[in-house]
Amino acid sequence: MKRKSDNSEPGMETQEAKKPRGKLDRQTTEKLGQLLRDYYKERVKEDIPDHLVELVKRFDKRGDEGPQS
Amino acid sequence: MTIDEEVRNAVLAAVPSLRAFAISLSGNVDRADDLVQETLLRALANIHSFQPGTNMPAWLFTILRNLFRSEYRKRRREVEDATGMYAESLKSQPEQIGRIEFEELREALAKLAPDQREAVILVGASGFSYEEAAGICGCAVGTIKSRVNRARARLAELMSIDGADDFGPDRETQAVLTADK
Repeated sequence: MKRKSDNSEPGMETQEAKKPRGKLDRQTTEKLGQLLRDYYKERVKEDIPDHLVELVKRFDKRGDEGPQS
Repeated sequence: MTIDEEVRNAVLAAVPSLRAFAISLSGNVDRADDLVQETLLRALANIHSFQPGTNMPAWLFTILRNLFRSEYRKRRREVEDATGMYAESLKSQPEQIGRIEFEELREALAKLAPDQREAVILVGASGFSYEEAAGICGCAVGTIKSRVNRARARLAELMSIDGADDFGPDRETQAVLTADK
């Protein structure tokens, strides 16, 4: 990601930080959306802890035995 | 009570996405796993209230979102990261961060207002429609649209993005990457 703060002119960083930002243009919105989707896909691909899967499976087995008091 | 096989499989199939949502919301894998576990326990205990044929992921996301909001109210100061603890927790888990852009995105997401964060994750990342996201968050469709737009603008601001050219490697890095071609 490019860094606007790399600007070497004194005072520019402060001015840019205060610059109001309007609605993003379409291309920028699409690229930001793609980054969000890629980030989310990475999270989805992570291994699921066994205990979470077992929790669902165990409940099913317990349920087969009838209602729990 | 027995769980219909189809319903059980639908719950299992939703777990990876549910966990991704929890990680994106909380920014902390351990907390995310606790949230997912609590969500699954509540969902399974109330599985009779799920209507087969309706949207299982949306139902589970709604439960998780409400749990997170409830926890957020209790731990408001921590979630707003007034002391920087949230950002520090991200740095302590480098194995969760695959790319520099993702790290920047994670840190920017952490700085969003919670309602904007959940809206942009649901619509912009998880693929829910505005209508579905509104149902999950319990608000109007227009409210979700507004939150998503504000979240995008704020993310761009936090990540110093002024235009589409700001994505990807900067000029110096690009020059190195293409030097041998």
